[in-house]
Amino acid sequence: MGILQFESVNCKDCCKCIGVCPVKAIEVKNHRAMIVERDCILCGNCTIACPQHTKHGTDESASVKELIRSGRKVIASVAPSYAAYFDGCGFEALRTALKALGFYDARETAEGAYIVKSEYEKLIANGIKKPVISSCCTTLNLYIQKHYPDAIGLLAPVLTPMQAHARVIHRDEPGAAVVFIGPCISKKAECEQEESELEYAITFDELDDWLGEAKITIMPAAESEQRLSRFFPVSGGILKTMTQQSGVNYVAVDGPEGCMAAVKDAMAGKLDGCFIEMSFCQGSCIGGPVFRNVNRSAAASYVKVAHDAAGEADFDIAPAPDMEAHFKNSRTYYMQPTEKQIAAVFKKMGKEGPEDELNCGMCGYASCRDKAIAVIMGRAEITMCMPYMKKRAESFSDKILSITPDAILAVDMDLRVQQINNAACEMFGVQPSDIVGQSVSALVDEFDFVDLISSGEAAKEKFTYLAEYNLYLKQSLYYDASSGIVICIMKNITREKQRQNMVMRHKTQVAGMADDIVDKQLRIVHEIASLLGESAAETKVAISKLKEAVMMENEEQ
Amino acid sequence: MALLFDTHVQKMKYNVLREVAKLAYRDELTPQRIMEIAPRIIPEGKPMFRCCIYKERAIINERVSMALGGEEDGTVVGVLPIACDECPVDGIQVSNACRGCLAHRCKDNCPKDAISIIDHKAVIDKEKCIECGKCMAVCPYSAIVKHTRPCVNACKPQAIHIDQNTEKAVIDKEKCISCGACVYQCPFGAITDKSDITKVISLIRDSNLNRDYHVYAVVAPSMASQYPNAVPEQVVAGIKALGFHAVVEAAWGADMVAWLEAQELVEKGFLTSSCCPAFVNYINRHFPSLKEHVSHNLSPMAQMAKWLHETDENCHVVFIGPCIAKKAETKYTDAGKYVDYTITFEEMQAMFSARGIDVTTMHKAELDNASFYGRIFARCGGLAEAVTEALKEQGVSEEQFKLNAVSCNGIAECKTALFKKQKGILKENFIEGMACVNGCIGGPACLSHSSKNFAQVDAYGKSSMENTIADAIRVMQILNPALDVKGDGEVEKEIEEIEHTK
Amino acid sequence: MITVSVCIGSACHKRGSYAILNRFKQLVRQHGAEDRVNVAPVFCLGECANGVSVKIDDQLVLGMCEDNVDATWEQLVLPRIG
Repeated sequence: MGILQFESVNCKDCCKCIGVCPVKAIEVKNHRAMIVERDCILCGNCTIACPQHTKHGTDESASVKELIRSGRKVIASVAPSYAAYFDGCGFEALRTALKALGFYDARETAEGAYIVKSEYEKLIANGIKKPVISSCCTTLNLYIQKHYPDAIGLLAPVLTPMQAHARVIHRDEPGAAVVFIGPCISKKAECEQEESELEYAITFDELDDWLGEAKITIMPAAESEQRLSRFFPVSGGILKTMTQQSGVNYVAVDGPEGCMAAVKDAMAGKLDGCFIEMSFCQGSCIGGPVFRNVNRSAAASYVKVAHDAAGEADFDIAPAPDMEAHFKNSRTYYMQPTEKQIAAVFKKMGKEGPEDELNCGMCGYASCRDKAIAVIMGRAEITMCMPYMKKRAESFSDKILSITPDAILAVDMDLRVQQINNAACEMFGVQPSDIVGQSVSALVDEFDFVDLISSGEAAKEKFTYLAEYNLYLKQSLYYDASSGIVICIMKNITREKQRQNMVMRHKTQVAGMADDIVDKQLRIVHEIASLLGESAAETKVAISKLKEAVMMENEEQ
Repeated sequence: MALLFDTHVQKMKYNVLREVAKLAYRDELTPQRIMEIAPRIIPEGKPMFRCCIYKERAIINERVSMALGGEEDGTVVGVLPIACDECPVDGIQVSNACRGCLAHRCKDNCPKDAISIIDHKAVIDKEKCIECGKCMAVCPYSAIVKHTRPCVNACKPQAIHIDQNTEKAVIDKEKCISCGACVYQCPFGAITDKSDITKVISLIRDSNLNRDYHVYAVVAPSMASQYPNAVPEQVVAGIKALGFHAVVEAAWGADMVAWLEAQELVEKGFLTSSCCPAFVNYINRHFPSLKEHVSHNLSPMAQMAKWLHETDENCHVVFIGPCIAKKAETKYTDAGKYVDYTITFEEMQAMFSARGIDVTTMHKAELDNASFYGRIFARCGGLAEAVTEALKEQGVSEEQFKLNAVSCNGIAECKTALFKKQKGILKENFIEGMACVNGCIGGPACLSHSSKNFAQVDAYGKSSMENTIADAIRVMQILNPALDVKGDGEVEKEIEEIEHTK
Repeated sequence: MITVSVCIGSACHKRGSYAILNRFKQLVRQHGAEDRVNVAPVFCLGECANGVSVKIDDQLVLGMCEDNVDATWEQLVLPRIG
């Protein structure tokens, strides 16, 4: 298919498209959102929601131009909502412009709508038991075929107005190439189907661009008569065109949620005896993707449509042969993952129990369970869970701050404390609630902060002693001008300092001891010397006396 | 997309193939449209390569004829007489660079005394000259040259000779092994292969989107090295986009061949490989006494195709590869029972171009189920490695059988090995013969002949998800339990096994 | 006669398509449905990221594994064969 184009380079991984997708047919791979074609029903919600404008329907106007150039008769089938897009120009004016572009002719799809509603009337002519759902809206048909095939039996087995119209055109001009022009992206897919009798479908936007390129303006022309079947593109419009049958309940539903819920109820037997007009776009076709860009409310668009439609008169066309449609079951079944698998995914997303299933919807999925299943199906990534990513980011840095033994303060330009960690609280004996928002001078000298900011430097280091806490600190200050904060990291070096002091004292003590010993030694030496001296002196006296005594004896003899 | 062709010749050939493919796709192969091709490729104005645009257009018409299938004469390679430039074929010549030196080493070194000095210049008597090249080697001015024809040089089985009268190259059908070396080497692109591209396009178209019958593409593993800006998975996506029901690797067939070859080897003791059809042709025509030693297994291409037929009765198979000899194998051997047509990578690229498929922008498709060993068949030495692995997986111990393989890189090496075998002096017990140098990645119809190709094939092999040959083969057995894939009679046992384990 | 096609491409093969194939065959035998259900392997279905791929006639079924073969049989095969 490749009808909904996607430019992955622009995708910023915001998940908004997933949130608006009614069937969650978008997968995220490597932080880029991609459409899962086999499930996509081409409602166009993602094209409108994406803020980066990464998605748009394929522009097939080039192919149509080629078709015209090739020489074939190309006839345009124009959807009745033209009245709302081209600001009440009237069909004849549009027809002239299209012929100027090279189209052989232009006819209104409302002709096909007339035939289709006649078929509906025939279907319910004899009363109905089970509900009958209109099958004009291609997106609705795709929804039922791809996602709720059990309801296929409830779809009216009739061609869409576009296909019916193509058959009528081919009856009148066999061999012509038919191109649809409308508000609808899913019609492009319908044209690619095998049984389709149309070559291409382009949107009003593409036509508008083409007219602009070719410098053709739509000149107001004579007003054509009103035709009832032109009411199809508004909510309840189909019902307006049908002659109401007694005994049948006529219900109109539009918008994705409304339609999906109605299908469910129809299957549950709550809509028996009802003919239900279903349009997948909110506000029916005039609420289609191209109309979101038009600067007009749905009500004002309704008025434009009614202008060309109101009244009693309608088209008068014989139905083409074989108006029957067969809808194929194209559902892809996804086997439900086991509880074990889901639990494993929850664990990876940091969800330990049911209280962690926030169902916040930020990832685009309505519930955490849905998202877990999407992860198992390969459509979603764990990193899409915003609460989980937040927790992860915070918890990691939080952990660091809370474990580190260094005190950390963050102070703003007014010198008020913004953040304080566990170690700082312990150090200063405060609670965060006491100090956050207060001036940092309550804890440390603010002069250092001011000095740093004014110096224009990015960092500063110094050693301080806080007497009142008896703390020696190695302070590192960092100034981040862009975020306007000063971070102060204080390493408690009191113990080191104290130890240093103690060692100093010890050394001094030991030095003193050495001195003492030297002194003592000297004293001892002194004493010994004096004792020796005394002893020597005594010995001298004694020996002198002895000598005298001996000499005297010698003289007497 | 910047196309990477090694030579202008390939580019010219590709242009023609592309135009023919375009017509085939539009179902407009009428004489009028076909005649419009030449003027489109060679517009009015100055001729690009030859004397005049009329000769160039005439050559284009000859190429178109080959692209449409050429003459049905039992060969797949043909000479385009108009394009043959009649390159001089006068062998060893003395050029103007001869300075009539005093030393005249040429004269002194000639073993046949064929050189005399006349008028201060060396002159060779061609009657005596045996073209040994000694004079060429000793001339200090490199003034003696050998003029030979590139095609004759390229043809190792010596199957090309020059017609005496017309001076055009002529291929001897009896000796030609269809290897395509001449196709690649001829600088004028005067020899080219015949193409079945139009028939393949019709085959796919007539299948009615694969509803009436399935058309399978069996692609050679050398596909991994053809495009510098695309990975193999993108090439597979491109091939699928051409309309085939499924793309299957020949490498998967190679896994089976490796397995069966290992078994046959243990049984017979000596084998030559049978994967390379040019090599098989070479043995058949030049060493017929060794025919009995050629492995009885089909080539990977044929093996894969045979298995496809047994799984999907009504199918048709097209082989896509770098090989011209495979065309001969498909047309003229038993393999033709299983493979309908063979096209080359050149032709595949022409089809891509005709359909506007750019492989560098395709989303990756999957290519299953071969193992690393099957995929490396594309490069020289791969088969031997795979057989070694197969023997290991089959639990054959080294005492029972030790593989001693010789991987012959190019016909010249094949000739040597075969010659030795003939004389009974070959030590090895397995000859892996690759007619193209470097193996299939050096094939004549490859889009790329760079030195990176070897590594690319190995990288592709490593990306395989089947770890062993046995795993890869088992999948085939799942596909068709009745197949005796392992060649040992073991079939349909799985259900009982599962019941036990449950 | 409906056909259950089990993908045997390398990615699915690695995830156990072999066992799934066999389990389907067993179920067919247990229910005596050989004449109504044909179980066959097929080449790669192109959904390699989504678990083992199986087709029931033209219906694509993704995310199959050995554990949910029985559930698939009950939900998607039995209703079709009555």
